Formats: sequence, C-alpha cells, structure tokens
Amino acid sequence: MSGVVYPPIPRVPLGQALERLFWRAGFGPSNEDRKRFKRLGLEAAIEHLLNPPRGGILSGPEPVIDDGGSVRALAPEREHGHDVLWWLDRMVRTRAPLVERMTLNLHDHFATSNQGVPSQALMIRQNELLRRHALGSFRSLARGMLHDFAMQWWQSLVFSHRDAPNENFARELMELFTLGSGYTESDVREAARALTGFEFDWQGGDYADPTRYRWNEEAWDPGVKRIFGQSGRFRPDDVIELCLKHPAHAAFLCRKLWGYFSPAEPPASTLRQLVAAYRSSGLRLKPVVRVILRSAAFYSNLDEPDLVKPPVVYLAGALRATRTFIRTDAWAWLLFQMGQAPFYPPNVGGWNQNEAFLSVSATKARFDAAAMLLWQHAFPDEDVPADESPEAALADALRFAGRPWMTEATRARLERFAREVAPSGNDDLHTAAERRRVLRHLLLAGPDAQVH
Amino acid sequence: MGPRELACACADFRRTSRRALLRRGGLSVLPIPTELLDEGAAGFLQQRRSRRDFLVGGIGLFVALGAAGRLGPWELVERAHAADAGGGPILVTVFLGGGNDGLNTVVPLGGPDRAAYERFRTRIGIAADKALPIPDQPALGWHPAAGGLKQLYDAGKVGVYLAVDHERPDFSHFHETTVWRSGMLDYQRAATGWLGRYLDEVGSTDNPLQGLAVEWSTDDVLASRIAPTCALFSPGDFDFWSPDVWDSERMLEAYRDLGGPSRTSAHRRAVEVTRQAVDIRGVLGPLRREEAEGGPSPPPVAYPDSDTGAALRNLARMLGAGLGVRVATVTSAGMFDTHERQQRQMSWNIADLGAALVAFQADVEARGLGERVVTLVWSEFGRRIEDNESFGTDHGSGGLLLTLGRRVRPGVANPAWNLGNPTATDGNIPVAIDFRDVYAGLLEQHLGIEAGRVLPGYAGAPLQVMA
Repeated sequence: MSGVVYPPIPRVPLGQALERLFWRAGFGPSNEDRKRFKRLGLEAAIEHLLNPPRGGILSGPEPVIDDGGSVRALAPEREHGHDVLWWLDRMVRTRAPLVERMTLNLHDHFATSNQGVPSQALMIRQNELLRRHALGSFRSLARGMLHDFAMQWWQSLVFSHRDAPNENFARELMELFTLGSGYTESDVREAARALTGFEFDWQGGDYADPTRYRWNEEAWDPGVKRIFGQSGRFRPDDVIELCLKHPAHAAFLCRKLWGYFSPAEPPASTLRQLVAAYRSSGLRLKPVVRVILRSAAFYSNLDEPDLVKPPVVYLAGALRATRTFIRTDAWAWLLFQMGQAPFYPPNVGGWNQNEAFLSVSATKARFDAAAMLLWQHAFPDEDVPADESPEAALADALRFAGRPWMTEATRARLERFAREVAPSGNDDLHTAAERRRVLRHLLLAGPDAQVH
Repeated sequence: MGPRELACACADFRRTSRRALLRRGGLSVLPIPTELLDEGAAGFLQQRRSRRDFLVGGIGLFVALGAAGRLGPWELVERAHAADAGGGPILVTVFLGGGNDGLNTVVPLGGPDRAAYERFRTRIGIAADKALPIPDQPALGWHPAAGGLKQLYDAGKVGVYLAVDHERPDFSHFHETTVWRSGMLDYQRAATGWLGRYLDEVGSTDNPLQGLAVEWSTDDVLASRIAPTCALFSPGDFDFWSPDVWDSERMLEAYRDLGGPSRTSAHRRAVEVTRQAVDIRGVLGPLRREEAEGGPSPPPVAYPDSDTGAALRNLARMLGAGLGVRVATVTSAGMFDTHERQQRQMSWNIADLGAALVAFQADVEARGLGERVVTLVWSEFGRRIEDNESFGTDHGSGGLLLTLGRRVRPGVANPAWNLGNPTATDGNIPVAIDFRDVYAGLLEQHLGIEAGRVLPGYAGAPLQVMA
C-alpha cells in the first residue's frame, strides 16, 4: 500500500456491506464468506478479495459436457460455445472472484469479439492476458493488448502498412481504451502511422500459431509523427506510452472502472482519490479498486441494490450459490439469449450495462436459465414430506438459493404462495414437492435476483 | 382517418419522460395509455377499464398538450381509438444473411451491362432466355427460380433498387450487417438499431411486442435505448417452464407479483420487465392455445415448409391478432454466402424467399392489413461481378433491395445496374443508391417520422419509396 492514501473504511451495516462487496467484486458471498467476515470485518473482506490465494485457484469438479450417454471434456479453443463455458466455469469455481470479475470488466473495456477474430484460441489467449493483469499494471495490459493477436485482427492492426495505415486501433485506443477525449483527428492519423508494420503469414498452419505473426520494420512508417504535440519517429509501443502519459488518461480510466462497480457518477472527492491512487502507484489497478471498495459511495442503497447484474454474473452467481457445476452446454446458448456471451461483446464499446440488460426476451432467458439450473437438481416427489409446512418449504428454498436478498413484498408473496399451495391429502405426493420447486425457481429468477 | 394521417399523428406524439416534461415546467402534459395507441380501439375497449382506472394506472405515454389541443385525457383516448381503428403503419424487414447475389437475382439482359455480365460471369451467368421477363424492363430479368418475386412484381407490389450500398463498403459480414442494422456507417460505435431508434422516438415504454424479432434471439435492427422489444419465433414458444411443475399459471401469478414497490431505478426495471414478460405470455395465450388445438386456420396461400415460411406465417398471425406490432424482423432460411457452387443454393434461396413472400402478402391482405404492412428485403452486401473458380461469387459492393406491399412505389427504381468497367473496380458494382436513402424514404413516407430523428448524421435525400 506504499505511497497511496486510502479512505477510511466507511461506517455501514456490515451484513449488507458484505453482500454488496461480494456481489460487485465477485459473484456473490457464500455462507462461509458471510460468517467469516462478519467476525473479521469489512476491511479484512476487501483485502481477502484483493489478495487472493496463489495457486489452486479453481476448486470443484472440472467442467464437462454430459450428453447422457457420454461425458467429455471441454474444447474451448475449438468447439463453438466451449470458450464461453470455459470462462463461465472459471467464474463458478474460482477462489479469486475479484480477479475473475475484473477480467470480465477489462474484457468489456477492451471489448474484442470472436466475430471479428478468426480463432477461439486467440480469444482464450487474450483472456489470459486480461486475467494476468486484472489487478496489476494497466501499462503492461495496454502494451500486451497492442501485441495481442485477437486485438490485432479485431482492430485491423494486422496488415496496417505504411502505405495505407489503418486508423481503427489508434482511434479506439484513444477514444475507448485510454483517453475518451482530449485528442484530435490528427493525433489519430499520426498514431496510426506509428502503429504500422504488423503482419501475418497467410501460408499454412492455423491462426493461433504465434510464428505466423511478426512486426516488419519495412512495413512500418519510419517518418516523424506529431502526437499530442510531441514529435518523434514513434514506434507502436511509443503510442501506448504517449496515451498513458496524456493528462486525460488517469481520470478517464478511473471513471470507467468505477462504472463497473457503481451506477452513479463517482463523487468528485472519490475521483480525486482514485486518480491519486492510480498515478502514485505507477498506473496499477489494485490500488484503484481498493479505493473503490473502501469508498462510501460504493455502499449506496444497501437496502435495495441499485445495479443490474450482468447476465454472466447472474448466472455464475446462481451456479455458485447452488453449487452447480458445468455439465451441459446449454449455458452457452442461454448466455447468448440473456444478451451477454463472453467473447462476443456486441461491438468495440462493450456491453450496454445495467438496465439495458433487462429486455423482455433476456429476462425470460434468465427465467429459463434458472429452470435449467433446477433441472440439474431435479428430485422425485417422494423426497419431500407430503405434510411439509409452508415455513419449511420456504426455508428450503432460501437455503437452496444461497439466502439471496429479497424485498419485504417478495417475502410476503412467497409466504402467501406457500400457504395457498396446500397438499390435498396424504395420497398427494406431488403438491409439496412442486411447492418447493416453485419457491426455489422464484427466488432464483425473480426481479430481486436480477440486481446486486 | 387513413393510415397515412395516423402515421403523421404518431410522429407528433413525441414521447417524453415525465421528468423531462416537468423540468421544462409550465407545459401541460396529458397521459396516454400506450396500449391504446398500440392495440387499437377493440382491444382497449374489451378490457373495460373504467375512466378512473385508466387515469390512475397503466399510463406509459405523456404527450405535450400542444399535440393534443384542448382535449382532456379521456377525450384524447377516444380520438386515438378512432384514429387507430384505421391502423398504424407496420414495417417488416427480411434479412438475406451472407450477402445475396443481387446481380443473379435481377439479371442484366441488355445494353453494356449484359456485355460486362457475359464477359465476367462465365461460369454461373444466367442465360438471357432462361431469365423470367420483367414486362416493363426488357433489359432486366428475374432469376429463373424467382417466380414468386415475379408474381408479386407483376401485381404491382414490388419496388426494386439496384446497386444499393454506402460510401465505404468493406465486405466484412460482421461490419456490414452492423452498418445495415444500425443505419450508421460507424459500425463499431453502433449501439442501437435503426428501427430500435424509431421505436425510441414514437413507440411505447410498455409494449415489447411493438418491436418483434421473429427469430430465436434478439435482432440488432431493433436494439433500442428505452423502447422495449422482444424476440419470439413462434407465439407458442413464449412460455415459462419449470421442471416438474404442473401448475405454471399459479407460479406465474406469484412471479408477476414479486419485488413490490422499488426505490432504485434498477430494481424498478427488474420488477417492470418481469411483469411485461408474464403479460406478453398472457397476450399470446390465444395463439398458443390455437397451436395446441391443432393449429391455426390455413392461410390463403400455403407457406413454404422452411424457417422463412414459418417465421412469416407466425408473424402474420401475430399481426392479425392486433398485438400492437409496429416493426418486425425476419431472417431468411437461405444461405446467401455463396462462395462455391452457387447455382443450386441460390435457386433454393430465391424460390424459398419468393414463395414465402407470396404467402405472407396474401395472408396479410386476407387479414385486412394490406394497407398497413410494408416489407423490406435486405442483405449486408452484394457479390462481385466476376464469378470465381469454385462456381461461386465473392463479397462485393452494390447489392439489391426489394420493397413489398400494396402501397410501395412499384417497379425498378434505377433500371440498370450500370456495371461500368469491372476491371477498374476490382469487380465491384459501382454504388448507385445509399441504403439510408431507402431507409429514410420508408421512415418518412411509410412510418411518418422525419428521417433525421432516426438516422444520426444522415444528410442525404430520401428516395420516393411509397406510391
């Protein structure tokens, strides 16, 4: 924490604060998380998330496709949809949820879609780059992105030749990845010249073969370029450095990162703290996230969550809460229907966040995803005592769904449902079981479960 | 009041948020129940809502008093009832995914175009005597399998636009579909679709069926900022299922009630959208039951047994049910990215498209919607003039657009492809029409909204696309 001044831990109700923290900095708390950090406190929980265990990050059964007849491993680099499942599985089984959540945030920030990249393997490699730097150095990450083959395809860096510089990457680098504003069209054009020279060998092999990519000095524009008022014979890496040194960069990036954690604008004082933490740490992400997680504004509206869970967070959270592991590829198409399949952002701007996720069809897909989850936990009618009380039925559902947040109105409605669905007699084996199923489903899929 | 007048009236109903109106201050605001504008008089009246109920709840649209004169809300409702009895305009888009070969759909038969065509289409060119004649255009002919399209054209219901594209075609499926869907050349920045923005301007905030993707997933043509839209391929599909639960009605009653009053906007949205979803299922109930009971009554002309036919048939049923659909999207079942052995695939594509459109148009007319429905057939690009060694064609500029409907301006808008010198254009067809000029024509002349409100940065001249 050297050199950075962090805000004091805000005074907020601990139980609710832990819910907020574990949901937005991960995929929801487990009961063990709740118990442990109610004892150790909010600061300990924040540091636990920021400093995950090394090694053995994934726990639980490996993901498989179980067709009923055969059980096979995923082929994330080859089979369509398995890339999505591969990452979903990491979110479900990780013991470093904040790293995984930041990887998702940075995927949205550097939004690259497999639609414009010729290989799933390249997308997986980019994903590993994102994860490596998720709480690390943004400078290393930005440089890595420049040399990332998926990004190079996606942003037309491959084959950007001195005779015809492609401005795609230069423009997005400034507008979406580092600055937002404070640059000119001329800066974009000049930067595009500096970013020339990347080539790909069309002959043989596959797109993921790194030996087919190279930077060719001959294809690079060696002339003097003028970018942000500075002149030089800039090379590709120099452009990244110029952007990171630009006065608009720190505030732009900090504001963007804040937006993944809170729906409201950061208060001016918080933004100043974020920028200070980012700059004084040498452009590292962990101090910025630490400031976010310690700021009072992050804990607004604790009694009614005010941010829509991104679909993949909703799904990974539900799978974690119910200890459900990947055994079907249905999750991939359900994520497409929910409107957020990782590796397939809609455009270079990433996903429209928050309420934009809740279209009617996407909402129905969330209900369907909960149905798919319950299908994995199907039980025969006989497992439930026919005379189970309404209270016991609701208690079962709450336990199953991982004790999610709900409004008083929801609780009252579920209690009413449980009371009204009464078994008709001792030979009615179905009704009590159905009551459990419905209560579980409503808790997993209802509107309260869509926000965090 | 005819559909044209209503279209204009709708454009004036600029939907404005309650907060924005209040901020402006002093302006009188009238609440309008949007389902009224969407569903027309019959559906609204059938619900027998009392005047008081209407004023208390179910209001989704606020209209500045200027647009409504001195009417009170209830009078305005009655006026709108009357207006809607004529029905509002409906636009359907049919997407030919992969890049349809426009040049082999409407084939040059004479003039310098024929010479260029014969010189460069040596492998899969269509012989002049095989093409189906276009009576008023002797220098053009339909693909031999385009009997359906010809039938519609000869009935004066089809508009043909040749060499349609934009100023910077780049031949990537992904880029170009995004450009066409968004109606914006900057494909990487596009977050909304052109018809989604149309709904943002004139649509309702609580009828997702107003923008209907008759597809398995959402269609970015309909991506909107605020107006709800939905995707459902078949009315029978939109049902909620839970494993081993028999009484789903009771489950959904509870599901619809969850959440209760909200303080935060995100939670409120979650509660609202849950209700909308359950309500749509309710609205579709009759169509769902119809399917369960042996299917709907047969259409006047049989649809082809393909996903194109199924989608258009499902759409016609939903249009006929008065669900307030304003815009709908359909994707053809054809595979139009014909790099190899094109002839056989293309014949199937074109025959399927034509047959499905013939059936759809007859169905729509039989349901009394012929004056309201216009169909736009589009593809993300055309293909190169020169065919390739695999007996196919590669991605090219300057594709084909078709409009269909009783009220479209019939005929070929620009009666020649004007292929020019293919050697000089790398085999690409010189772009004659900006696709946004057609969009703008449809927006202004059919949907009754100023094109600039839907197409940001557009400064072209809308084409005359309606009769």
